[in-house]
Amino acid sequence: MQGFRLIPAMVTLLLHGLVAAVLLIGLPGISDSQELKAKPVVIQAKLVIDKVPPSRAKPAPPAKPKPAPKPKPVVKPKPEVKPKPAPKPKPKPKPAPKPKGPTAEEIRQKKAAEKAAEEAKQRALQEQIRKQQQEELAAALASEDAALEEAELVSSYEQLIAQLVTNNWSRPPSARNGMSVTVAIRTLPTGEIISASVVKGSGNEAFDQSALRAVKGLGEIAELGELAQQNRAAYERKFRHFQFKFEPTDLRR
Amino acid sequence: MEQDLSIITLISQASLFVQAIMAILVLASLLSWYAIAQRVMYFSMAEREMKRFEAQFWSGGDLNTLYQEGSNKQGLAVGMESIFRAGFKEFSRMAQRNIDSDAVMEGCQRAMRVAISREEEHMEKSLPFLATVGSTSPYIGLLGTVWGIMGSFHGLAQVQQATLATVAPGISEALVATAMGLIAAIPAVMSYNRFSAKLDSYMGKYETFADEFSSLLHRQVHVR
Repeated sequence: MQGFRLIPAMVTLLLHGLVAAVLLIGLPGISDSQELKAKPVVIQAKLVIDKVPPSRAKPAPPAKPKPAPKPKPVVKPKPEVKPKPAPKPKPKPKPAPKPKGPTAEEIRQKKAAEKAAEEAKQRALQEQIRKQQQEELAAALASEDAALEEAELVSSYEQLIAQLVTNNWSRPPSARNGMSVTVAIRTLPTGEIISASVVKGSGNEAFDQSALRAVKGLGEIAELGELAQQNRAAYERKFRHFQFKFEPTDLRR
Repeated sequence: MEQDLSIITLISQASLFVQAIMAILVLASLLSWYAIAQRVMYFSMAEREMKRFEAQFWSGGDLNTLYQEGSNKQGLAVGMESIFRAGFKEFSRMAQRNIDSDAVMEGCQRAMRVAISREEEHMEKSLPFLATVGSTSPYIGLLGTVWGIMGSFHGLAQVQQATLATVAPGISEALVATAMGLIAAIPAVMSYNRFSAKLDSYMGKYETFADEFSSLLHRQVHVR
């Protein structure tokens, strides 16, 4: 009768030990199935502002062309200034013969003085030009810095909005990689979204509508309201009207 | 964000409640397999003994010598032999006192009935446990899973950006409990069904034998 206790106990322990060993070491079949590990699904949607790049490019090019064309108009007036002193000496020689007092030496001295004055004037002008150029350069640099700062601010808000919209975006099962839809969005300085409309559809109505729903579902972007209060100019330029491009890249098909 | 999703790490990372449920299920599986192995051995032994005894009984030998042989053997008689021994013991005892033949038969039959019910008791030992494991362990496993998924969704609610990767490990972990419940339940249910069918067929055989034996004794009583 002892066998009725010992043998079943051994059989049981052997069986469970075997199962535990298989789990610990792993059979080829089991390890294969575990390769189907869940990979983090990241939805990538980028805020692509199609209209803004030209406007963003504008403030930069004006800064550069300005230093170039401006000095020219400034330089040109100088040649005009030059002729002025030139006619002066002409009338002077005329009255000179009348008194006939001033000798040739005096005339020569006068001419030399005039020349010196002219040179001084020119030097002063050149210096002025140089100063102006430097000022302009500094202004351009400053404006460029400001533009950079603003671009950084804007891009951080762009990322924020992209994340908000992406979190809110539930795509239809018919969504495929490579589809893209561009949505135009209008906002108020309070951050409220007034309207959203499809600018360039993907051809899949459900997909386009899902993107629209994602934008409209946000209702109000409080951070945008804050930005409008802090930096109204940047808000007006970038976020009053902007476009958002939905482009899933993480789908399996 | 590669995550180790092997079953061992899933179990070790599960919440305490789920781990407790898993422990209960492992225990249930251990005990049910112990019971299964024991029952398999017991039934195969009963089958062997029954065949041996039937061959001996119907070989036409003297019942007295058969009884004596059984007494000389070590250990308790199992199955059919114990029924024979109970009936024959009662018969020989009453026959010595010269009692009414009907009363002798009645006493014999009663003794055999008792022996049969004792055999039944032996055979169906731990079958109720198998039935319990078979019917409840899926529910216990399911409870663990539901609890685990509850926890996983609770955690999900506190995350801003939810990806599949934040939900999947929790659910995978929770589902281990259901898998364990099913692993414990399936053998228990299968073996319970098999053993209860076997029990029925053995009981039928024992009762038939008891009838046959009592008719033999009846002949002996009335011939005398």
